[in-house]
Amino acid sequence: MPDTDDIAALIEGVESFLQEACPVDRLHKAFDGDEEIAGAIWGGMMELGLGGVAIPEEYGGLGLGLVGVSMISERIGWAGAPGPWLAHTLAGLAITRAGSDRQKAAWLPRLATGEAVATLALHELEAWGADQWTLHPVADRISGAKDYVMAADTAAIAIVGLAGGRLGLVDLSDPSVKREDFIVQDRTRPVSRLVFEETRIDPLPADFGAGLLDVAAVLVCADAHGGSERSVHDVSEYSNFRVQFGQVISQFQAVKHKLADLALAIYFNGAYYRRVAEQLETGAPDASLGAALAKALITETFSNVARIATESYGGIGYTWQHSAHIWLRRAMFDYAWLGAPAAHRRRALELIGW
Amino acid sequence: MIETDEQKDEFRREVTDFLAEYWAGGRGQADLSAFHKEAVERGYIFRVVPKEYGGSGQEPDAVKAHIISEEFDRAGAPLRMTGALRQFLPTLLAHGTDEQKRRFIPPTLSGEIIWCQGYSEPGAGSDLASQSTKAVLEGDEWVINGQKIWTSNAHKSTHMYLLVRSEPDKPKYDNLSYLIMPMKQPGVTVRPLKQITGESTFNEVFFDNARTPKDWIVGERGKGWIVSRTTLDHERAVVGSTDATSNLFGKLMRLARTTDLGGRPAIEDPFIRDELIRIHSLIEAQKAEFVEETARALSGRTRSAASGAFAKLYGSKVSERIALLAQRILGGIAIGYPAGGGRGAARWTDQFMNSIAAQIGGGSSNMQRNVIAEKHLGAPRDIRGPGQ
Repeated sequence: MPDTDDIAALIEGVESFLQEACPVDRLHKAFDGDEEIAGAIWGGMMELGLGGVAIPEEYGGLGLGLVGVSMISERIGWAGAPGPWLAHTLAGLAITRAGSDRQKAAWLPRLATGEAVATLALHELEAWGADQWTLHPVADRISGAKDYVMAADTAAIAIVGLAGGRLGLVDLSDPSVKREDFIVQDRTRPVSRLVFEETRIDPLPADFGAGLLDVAAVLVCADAHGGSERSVHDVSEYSNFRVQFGQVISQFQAVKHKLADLALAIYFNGAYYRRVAEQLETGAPDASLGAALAKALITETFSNVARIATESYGGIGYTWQHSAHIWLRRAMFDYAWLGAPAAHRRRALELIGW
Repeated sequence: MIETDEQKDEFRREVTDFLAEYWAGGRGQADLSAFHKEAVERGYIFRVVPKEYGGSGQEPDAVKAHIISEEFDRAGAPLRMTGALRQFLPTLLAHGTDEQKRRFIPPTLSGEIIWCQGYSEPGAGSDLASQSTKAVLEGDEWVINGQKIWTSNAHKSTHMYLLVRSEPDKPKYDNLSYLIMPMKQPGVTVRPLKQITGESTFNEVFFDNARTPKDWIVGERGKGWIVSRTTLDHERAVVGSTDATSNLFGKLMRLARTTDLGGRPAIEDPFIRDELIRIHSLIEAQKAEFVEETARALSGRTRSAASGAFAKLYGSKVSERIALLAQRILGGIAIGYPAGGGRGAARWTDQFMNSIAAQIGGGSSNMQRNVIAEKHLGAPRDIRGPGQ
């Protein structure tokens, strides 16, 4: 595994690449459907090795631990970068942790370079927990539907959640797989429904459904924290610049104190997701509890912060051309994807045993 | 500074061994002074005060300071660091004359001199520099007239360090001096203020031709504002320990488990449970940041120039939420209870009110918001003076 200096250098590289490749004007174009720009951003991320951050070096990945992977997720959340990085990274991690040698050899090297995209098919509408999955393989075949699947049009494979909390691999080029695109809020991460009919499934040998959801929660937290930091940064910068009544508006305490409250709401959350990532990495007994609590707190905070930030711009923040709504929509995604805060709090209460 | 986990564990063992030997044994007055002497000798208390003035003469070490504070706290042993001392000792060390240090520090450490702080006035709260208390030099003495307020422990103190307006012709921030003054004299009247909890821990202090020697001024005339802004206590680099909030939350959990709400323990009520788990996650987040901040302190870094303001504002907000949830759990017990009943309700109604004090004392929540917006988010300075 790379050492902390290497990780810091990598994160810095990711940051400067995204600054260059995904500034607000290009992000807007990608958001509005410019596939060339979206493709260039994704391609650049793959060139940096971001396709295989969680994939072991022997399979061509960077072999980062969960803290490093989640810190990259934070940078992507900050930039609002379009693309299925979360799903792709988690699918690669699922194969790494639960796949057979054959599955690893077949897919990990291609995922690491970005030659093939992988995605996750876990949700069944509102049912997202591993104990709620209903797809039952019958003689290597599954039938049924999965929802909120990122990059369903471009992904080569999907990691599918199965009844009993197991995972399986589906080749999406199989003609029995049908796709229905959803009308989405967050156009940086469009999703679809996948419908399987007697589709061939290749089960992953190890039991990793619940474990995958814990890791996913932390990566979503990191994305949400990056987005929260960006929302607070942008609205502070604007308020320090925008003049009304002859002074910058951040000098008015009604504005100044609201900004301070936003900064306070997110100040402790970065350390929190990193600690939970560390706990998951080391298999600490409270790791699942931490993942549930952090998912609830940090994605809910992102949603609140992005709303208040958007409101604080005044009229300009309510326009399509302004970027505030891009992070507001990403917040809506992070809030609901793989379990909303209330569900995670209920789960935390069960785990903590109160 | 100590760095590795092994060093930390070893140092923690040293401290707990010391406490087991010198503190757990007896708690009589004689033992207390022996304990105190030994603790200074070993560098556990008054750490950065030079040896020549009776301190431990240690290099600042935020990690050691934190371990000491944790272990002393756990054992119930006194660190002898009051709020006033935390302010005053670094100030005197930085700005006092050698003569002042020799005169005041040793008896302060031994407990013969007890300090109170004379900063706030009825007309100088958040706007602390707008002092009205006047000091005029008459011969070899300063003559002081005016009033201080919110003075903790004034009734128990032998000396006060205070801000006075000594240069009435100069502009704000350049018109103050920082004086030391004996409390036991005819010109000083201390009147306790009764707080909303019914207790009296702070006072009003009136000066009617109170006197203090000419050379009991710390720093130069007119430089009192800058002197009073001194925070050279390097061992406070690590702020934001969650010990106090965690402790309070533990008590809230006990209250939720033992209080009946509609025929079952309050902790089984879905709304109470939801808020409990929310508060728990807020404390967990702060704990995680504290661990990172402690690690940063090892290399002399801090995450934000406003980290103290973040910690204070967050802590007081969490403590407020604990108070409000306790109120929900207590139900009618918060109205009243028969004599001999109530099961600790008094402690919670006090905390309900104390959590308001936490938003005011030590810089109000709105002042913390100013600090956060200015130092962390780059907002322009508020209508405030130089220094911090």
